[in-house]
Amino acid sequence: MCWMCEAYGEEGKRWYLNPKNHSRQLYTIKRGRKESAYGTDPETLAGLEQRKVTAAKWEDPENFPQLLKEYNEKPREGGCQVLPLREAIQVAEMAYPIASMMCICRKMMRADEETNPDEYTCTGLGVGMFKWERWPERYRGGVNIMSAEDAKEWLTKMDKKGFVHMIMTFGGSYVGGLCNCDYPDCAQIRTRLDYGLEPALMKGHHFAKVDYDLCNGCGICVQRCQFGAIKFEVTTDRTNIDAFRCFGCGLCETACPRQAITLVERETVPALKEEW
Amino acid sequence: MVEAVAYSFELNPEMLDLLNKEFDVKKLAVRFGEAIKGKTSEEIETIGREFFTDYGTEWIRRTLQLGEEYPDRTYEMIKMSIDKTGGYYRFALLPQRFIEIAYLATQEFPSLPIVENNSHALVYKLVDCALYKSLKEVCGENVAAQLPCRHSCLTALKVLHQDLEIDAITGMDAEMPKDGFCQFFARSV
Amino acid sequence: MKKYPRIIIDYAKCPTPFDCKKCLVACPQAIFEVFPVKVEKFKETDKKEPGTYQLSTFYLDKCTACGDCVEVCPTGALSIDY
Repeated sequence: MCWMCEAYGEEGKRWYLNPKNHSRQLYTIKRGRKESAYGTDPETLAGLEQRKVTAAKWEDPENFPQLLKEYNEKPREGGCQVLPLREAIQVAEMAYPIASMMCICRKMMRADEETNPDEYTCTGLGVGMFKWERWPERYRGGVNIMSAEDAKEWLTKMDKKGFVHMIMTFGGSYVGGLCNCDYPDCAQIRTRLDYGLEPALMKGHHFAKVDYDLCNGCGICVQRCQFGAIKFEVTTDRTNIDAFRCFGCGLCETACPRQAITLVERETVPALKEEW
Repeated sequence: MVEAVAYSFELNPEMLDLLNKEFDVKKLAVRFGEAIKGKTSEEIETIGREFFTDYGTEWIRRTLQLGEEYPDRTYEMIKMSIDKTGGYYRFALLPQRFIEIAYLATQEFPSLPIVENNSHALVYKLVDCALYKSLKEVCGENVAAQLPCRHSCLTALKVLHQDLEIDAITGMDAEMPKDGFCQFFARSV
Repeated sequence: MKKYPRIIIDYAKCPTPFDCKKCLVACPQAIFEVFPVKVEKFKETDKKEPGTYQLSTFYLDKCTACGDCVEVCPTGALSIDY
C-alpha cells in the first residue's frame, strides 16, 4: 500500500484527496515565543537533509550507498508524490487557499526568474499563502491566489506545457504544494531518478498502458515523458511504456491524439503493487 | 522588489485581552451555577438553553465587532483574496477567522483544531474546553454531562453566519461527555 | 572508484551569480545551483548586491568536465580539475 495513504488517507480516500489534509487553523497564539529574523522554512530544511545524501555521491562516494540505504529506510514523516491532472483538479476543490507562485527549483537550478503570474509555474496550497510576505525571498513576486475554477484552468495549462504534477507535505500531513515539474530542473525528480532517494518522490497511484490497436506510433507521448519510461519501439512501430519506470503522471495520456493510453491503478497489478 | 514591512500576521493581543475579560468562562460558570441552584435537570435544560443562547449571541457579536476594529495582515490578505476571486474565499475563511478569535480569546489552547475548511465546509473541534471544565468544577459532573454550554457554541456559529449573510447549515456532530470532544460544523448551501 | 571532476569557484570573482546566471543556463548537465546566502524575514534579497547569493556545483557527479561553464564565465571565476 502507498505509505502516505496508510498514514494520512481516510475511508479509502487517497491522502491528497482527504479534505482533512488540506485543513488548518489561521492563527496560533505564540505565548512568549520569539521568532527569529533569519530562518529557514520547513521546506528548505527537508531539502537540506536530502542534500547531505545526494552530495555524498561525489564528495564521499565510498559511504554513499550506506547513506542512501539509511535515508530510504528511516521512518518517514510527510512526503511527495506524482499525481495525474484529473486528480490535481480534484485537489483544487479542497486546497484552501490555492495560489500560483514562483518555482524554487527552477530558480536554484537555472537561475530562472518567474516574477509575475504569467511566468509562475508552481502552486502553493494552504493558509501559509496568506502569510507569504514574511519571507519575500522565498516567494519572489508574491503569490497569486486563485479560485478553484481558475486553479483548474491553470493546472490544465501547466499540463499542456508538459509539466509533471506532484503533491507534497512539508513534514506531517498538511498539504503545502502542488508543483509542475520537469527534469532536470525539479530537485525531487532528479533526487529520485539520479540518486535513488525514494522518499524524495513517490510514484503515483497509476501507471500508463498503451493500447497497441489504437496507437499509430506518432511519438507525441515520447516527448512528454520526464521519467525516461517511454521509448519509440521501431520494431512494432508503436510506443512502448515501461511500467516499472513509469511514475503515473499521465502526461502521455493527456497528449495522445488517439486516446491510446490509459492510466491503470498500480495496485491492481501484482508486481506493481509495492512499486512506489 | 519587496521592501521590508514587518507586518503582524497574528491576532492583536489587546483584542484578545478585552474579549477574555468580558467573556471569562470561569465567571460564567459561577453565574450559571447560581441560576440553577435547586433546579431539576429538566429546569436546568430550559434555563441552560436561554442562558447560553444569550451568552453565545453576545460573545460572537462582540467578537465580530472587535475583530473588525483590530485587523491583522492575515485578515487583510483574506479580504484581498475574497475580492480577487469574486467571493470564492468568503466561506469558510471569513467565519473561520472570527470563530478562531472567539475561542482563542476565551480558551487556553494556542490554536483551534480545524478538521475541515474549504468552500464547502467549516468543521472544528474542542478537545480541551475551559468552559466545560469550569462547569464540572462549579456545577458538578451531572450538570456538565447535560452539556448546557453547547447552546453557546451552537448559537455563536449560527449567529456568526447570519450576521455575515452567509447561507450555511450549522450544527454539532460530537459531544464532549459521549465522544470526548465537541465537534461543530457549518456547511454551505 | 569513479573519479569525479571538481569545478573550482573563485568566489571573489563571482559576487552576483543569480544576476549573472551564465554558467547556470549554459551547463548541458545542469550541475550548478544558486541560493541566497542569508534569508531575511520581510525582505527580498537584492540579487545585484555582491555576496547575497552563492554559486555551488551541487550535482557534480553529473559533470563531464566539458568546459562550457569556464568558457561562458565573464570574470574567469571557474576552473576545472580533472
